Amino acid sequence: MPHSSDSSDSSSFSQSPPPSKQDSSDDMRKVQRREKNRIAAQKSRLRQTQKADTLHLESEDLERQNAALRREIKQLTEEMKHFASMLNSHEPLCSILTSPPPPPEVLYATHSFHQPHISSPRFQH
Amino acid sequence: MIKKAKKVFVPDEQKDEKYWTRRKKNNVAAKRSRDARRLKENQITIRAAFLEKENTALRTEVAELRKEVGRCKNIVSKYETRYGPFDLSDSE
Repeated sequence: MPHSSDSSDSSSFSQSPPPSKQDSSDDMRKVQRREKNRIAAQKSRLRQTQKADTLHLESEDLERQNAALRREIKQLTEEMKHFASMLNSHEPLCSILTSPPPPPEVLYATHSFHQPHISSPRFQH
Repeated sequence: MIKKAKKVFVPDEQKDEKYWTRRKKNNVAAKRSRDARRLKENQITIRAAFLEKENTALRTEVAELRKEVGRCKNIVSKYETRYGPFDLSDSE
């Protein structure tokens, strides 16, 4: 695991070359690059946590919406059942059916309430 | 959340076996932590997508039911304006 470090020996100053202008500017560039990278990494981490937080909030919001939609579906289904039973129990007394033929198409056009399609299991799982 | 310790520079002479065992332990823990966080993020993303799909389907269903209820109410009101209140038989 420990990778080989550079061979410069700090105890023998006579051997190590004096810092040239080139080395100083290299060091400066290194420091600048490190600082740039530090800022970029910080920004990246911040974006990541913000993304996770936003997603979490959206999920909670969708959960609430879906629960409300389910409640509405339940209520509307109840309403449809009510209409189905109402139309069924009305059928024997219907003024349109008891009146002489032909039955007026103008009122019921494409819809006939004799068929039990209202209570059809279309949305029942 | 775990507070991150300040980064201290360790010169090579002090990097003994104890140091490296500690480093290895921390590296393993850090990787485990990153993997766990990535897994959690993926799970949240999947859940959000699922909820979005479910939401769309529920909205469609609500729209259809509202349309059907509207048609029923319309039929009843059209009948009632012409023939008077809706008669219901007692036998059922």
